[in-house]
Amino acid sequence: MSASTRTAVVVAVAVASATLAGCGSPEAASAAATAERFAQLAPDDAAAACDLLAPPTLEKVTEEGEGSCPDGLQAADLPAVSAGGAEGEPAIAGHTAKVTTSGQTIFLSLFDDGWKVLAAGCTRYSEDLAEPYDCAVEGN
Amino acid sequence: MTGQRRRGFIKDNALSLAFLLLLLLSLVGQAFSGVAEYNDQARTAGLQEISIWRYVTSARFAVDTAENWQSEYLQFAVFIFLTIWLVQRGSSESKKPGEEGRETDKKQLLGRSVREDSPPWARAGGWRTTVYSHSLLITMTTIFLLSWTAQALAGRVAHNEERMRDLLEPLTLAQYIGAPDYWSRTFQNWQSEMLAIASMAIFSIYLRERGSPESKPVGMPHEETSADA
Repeated sequence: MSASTRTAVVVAVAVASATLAGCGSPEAASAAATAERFAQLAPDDAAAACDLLAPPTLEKVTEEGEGSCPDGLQAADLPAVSAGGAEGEPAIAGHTAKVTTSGQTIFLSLFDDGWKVLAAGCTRYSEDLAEPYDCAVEGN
Repeated sequence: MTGQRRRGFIKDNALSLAFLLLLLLSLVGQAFSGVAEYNDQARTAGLQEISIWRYVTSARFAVDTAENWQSEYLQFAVFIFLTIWLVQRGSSESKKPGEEGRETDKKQLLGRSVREDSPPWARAGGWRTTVYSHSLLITMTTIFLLSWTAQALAGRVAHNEERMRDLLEPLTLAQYIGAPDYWSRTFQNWQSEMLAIASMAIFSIYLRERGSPESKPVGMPHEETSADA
């Protein structure tokens, strides 16, 4: 095998490993746990749920709560918590994740201190792949 | 070739070593400029910035690298294949008009014309000589296909990272292979490679660079190819 072939094989294996890393990985479990925790906390302990928001989302929710993130979160139309936990495998790509849990879809982004919620209470109304989810809570 | 005195590893391999060094320097440049761009976008969106190490192990770095690699290897594979059958009169990149095709065993130093110092698989005969007769095209095509596959796998992850930031449904691999992002990355690389080959084939008819094997001798007439000399 030539040096260039070896290099290409190494790159292909590395890419395949990186690509598959989302499936059943600790990152996926961690993203699912954060989403689940947010879904559970938001109705009863909005202040604690606010700690799980990503900066742009925290900023917008605080704006909507007229200076109070918990007020903004309580005013948001988040779905009631349902039993059952995460539904299906979380989708992970690089530093973003999508988890469906407790009857809602939650988008997350990875920070140095773990996964944070980018958007929550999301529903998809169209099969059109160019149509974004409609979310009760999202960032600027 | 027989009779050529070896002059030490570096001198005898200077061209390959120079290009490998340039490859390395270019990858370093790509890594630093790429992470700066990634972090600019992350800062604007209020998201986490990443280290250079995380960037070079990311899908985004992989897809940007693989999309260029696949097109380079495709370029060489197509060039190697088409120059067997097609000529460009007067181009240093072409065989002489009239010599299209696989050529005789005598010209290819095979069969009764094989030399003592020919590569072992050229001397072996049978399937090994057949495989060896196409080994350059097989290798280039294989690397092209691997790189193109890597582009699809890494490109899907990088594209989905952006899609999920925009609260869009992530794509399956099949959906990504049918998506504009995959084909836009592919075709914009292919067109530039085909332009480069066409330019080289045509420019080398009329233009010269003294001392370069990629050029005809300065005084050679336009209609003659290097192979005529």
